[in-house]
Amino acid sequence: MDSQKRFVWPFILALALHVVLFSLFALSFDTKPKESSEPAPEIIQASLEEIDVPPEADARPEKQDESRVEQQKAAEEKRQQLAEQQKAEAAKAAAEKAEAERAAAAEKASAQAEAERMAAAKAAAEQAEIAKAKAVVEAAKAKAAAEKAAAEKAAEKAEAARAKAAAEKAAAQKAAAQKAAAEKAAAEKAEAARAKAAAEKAAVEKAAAEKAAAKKAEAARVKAAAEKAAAEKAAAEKAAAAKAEAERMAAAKAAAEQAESAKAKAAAEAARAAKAAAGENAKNAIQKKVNNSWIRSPSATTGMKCTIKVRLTSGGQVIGEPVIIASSGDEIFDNSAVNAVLKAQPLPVPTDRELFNKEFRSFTFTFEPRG
Amino acid sequence: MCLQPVLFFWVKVFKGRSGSISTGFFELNDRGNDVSFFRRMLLVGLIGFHVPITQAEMNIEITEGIESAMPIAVVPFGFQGTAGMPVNIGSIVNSDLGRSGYFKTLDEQSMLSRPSTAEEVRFNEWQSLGQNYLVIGQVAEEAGQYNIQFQVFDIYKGTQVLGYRMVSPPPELRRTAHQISDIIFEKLTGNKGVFSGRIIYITSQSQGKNQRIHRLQVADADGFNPQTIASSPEPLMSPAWSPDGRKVAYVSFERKTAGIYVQTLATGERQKVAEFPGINGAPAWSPDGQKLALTLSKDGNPDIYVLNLSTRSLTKLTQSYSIDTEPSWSPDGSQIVFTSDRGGKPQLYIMPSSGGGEKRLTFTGDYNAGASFSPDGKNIAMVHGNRGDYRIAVMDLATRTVNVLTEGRLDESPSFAPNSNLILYASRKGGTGYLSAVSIDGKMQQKLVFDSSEVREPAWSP
Repeated sequence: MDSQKRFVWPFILALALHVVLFSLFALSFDTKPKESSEPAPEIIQASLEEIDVPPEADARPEKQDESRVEQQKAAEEKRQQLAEQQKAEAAKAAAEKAEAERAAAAEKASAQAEAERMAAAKAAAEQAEIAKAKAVVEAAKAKAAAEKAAAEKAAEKAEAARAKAAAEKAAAQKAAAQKAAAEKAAAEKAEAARAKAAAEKAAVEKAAAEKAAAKKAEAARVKAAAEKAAAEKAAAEKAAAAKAEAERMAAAKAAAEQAESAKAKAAAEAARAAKAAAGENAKNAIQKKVNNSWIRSPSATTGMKCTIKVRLTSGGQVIGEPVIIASSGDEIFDNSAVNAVLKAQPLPVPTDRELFNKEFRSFTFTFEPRG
Repeated sequence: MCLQPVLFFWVKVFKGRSGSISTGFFELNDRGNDVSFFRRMLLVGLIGFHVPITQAEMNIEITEGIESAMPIAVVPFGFQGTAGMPVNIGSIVNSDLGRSGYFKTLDEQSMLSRPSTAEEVRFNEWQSLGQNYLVIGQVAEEAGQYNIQFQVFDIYKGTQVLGYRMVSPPPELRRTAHQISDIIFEKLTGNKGVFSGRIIYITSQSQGKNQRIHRLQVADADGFNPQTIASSPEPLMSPAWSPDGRKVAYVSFERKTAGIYVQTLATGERQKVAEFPGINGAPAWSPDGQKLALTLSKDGNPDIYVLNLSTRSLTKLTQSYSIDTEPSWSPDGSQIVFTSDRGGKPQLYIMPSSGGGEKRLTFTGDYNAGASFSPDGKNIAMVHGNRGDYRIAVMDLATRTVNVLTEGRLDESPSFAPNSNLILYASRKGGTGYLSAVSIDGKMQQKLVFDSSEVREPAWSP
């Protein structure tokens, strides 16, 4: 019991220490920066400065202003004159236009009177023609009416003869129908008796058939039960066999997986080594490309040092502008360094995502010419 | 890694009860109890703390780079006006920058587009041509003057580096173009440009039957627009600009004997300031423009004198039996460098400008002469000769090291440009003379070609 108690404190302290260490370990991970989209190259609106204009140029514009005012006044006057002239001309034109319109109206009236006279004469002639025609039509109408009356009389006579013949035909038909009906009733009676006999026969046969069917069904049921039992047995056997198969396969799979994992581990090791090499290669490639793009400024001397920080997209493009974190003191040297980095885009960063994020997403260049 | 000490602890806590396992640190007393619980905790805690909290960022060192001229594209400037542009400003800027050796310009045929405003620029197009910088511009004619605007872009950053607007009357258009080159050059290289300066030099043309005509000419720094300011059938030598750039002093033999003249460039009037018996040569202006240092041999052998131009008083600075000549003032006026053969062969010496206290400067090579102080006072350019091979060299006054810059074999008359970076000098190859410029670190070389036959003794305007 005593020893148990003595374990409590160390246990608690050990736990606390573990917690602290784990939290430190967790904090050691860098937070992943968000990947921003590449900015489009901007064309920045140029702002221009003016250098001092020599004094002679200033004196001249003043004189020009004075004469310009006078010129403007004269122009105004001229403009007014022109306006008045234009107004007089416009009035004259209006008067002339009214005259012309009046003359035109008078002509139109006389022409119209002529036309009316001619129209009246034409109308009178037409009316005489119409009266003549009407008389002819009426004569024809009277003749037609007389002919119609004669025809009607003849038609009436024919109708009376026809009616008589029809009545005789109808009487004969009625007698024939009555005969036919009596014959039909006798035939129906005989049919009914026959049908009844047939029905009784059918009923007897039906009963016999039902019995036979019941027997058959029984036999079928027994057979089905037997078949079911057999089927179940077969299924059970199949299941057992399948289970055995599955177990066999599982065992084989486990063995294969083990082999796989061993292989994977070896592959992972190789990949890690390759990644490290890829990182070195990328670093050298970037160094070479920037060196080839760096046109040293004429002021570059050994001892100058400039440090630039860049952030890259996964394609090797610089995000925003490289930031000078340590200037060399010479603006032109710093500029040449920034230009070198921008000119070397796209930088040959490694394709492996994890390696890129770890080392190549954000890093620095130090420009230090040596000889 | 971090868990191991924890496990160790764990084992010890429990195992320590029953067994007598102990190490140096994890001690147990005779009864098998823990000696110091807290000591253990502390130890493990300290060991456990070597869990790395942050990872060190990768750093790539770039130590080489390439030495190359900076690729720059100068697009022909757009023009708005009646007749065509009288001066092709874009092409002047293009030639200046390319000739400087610092830039590699793009020829017009390779350009995919010709933008003249910022909106028309497609940066990835110029990136595909491998250009680092782009210069575009526009010229608009307005009331007889020209409104010029230009902008320079950094192609890879996609930003404007500088932009200016200026007005220029027609006769000044070339000068304005050179000023544009100066502005661009200074911004992109950190050195002041010298494209808008002028140079003076002597040409010598044969007129047949042993007659030559010697001319003193002033031209733009690119050799354009040469103007003759003096000409003579007799030799002209040693032109020297006054510090304000308005006057030139030179030696002329037109009166069959050497005389030193000072000529005002704007008016063409000149004064004869020295015509002593014997040698009158190598005039050098003091930085305040009041005095001329000269070589005169009137007292027997060539010595250095200082002539005050307003009072015409003469002060003798050197007194020796050797030849002392070719004086050059330091920019602060306190010292004079000159050539002397008092040591046996021509070498450079330095003394206070009040005279006396001469000290030898050059100790390498068998010939050092023709000294020229740089405007910033840090360097001296000279002709450095070895067994007949004469080259231009520069001495750093702080360290006294001498660097040979050119290839010779007959290079002479070095003259510093106002930015203290370029040195203009004369050279001969195949019998003809021509002018060249070299940068002070020896990396940039340019050749100025003139259509006259022989060109000598250049001097850059201040």
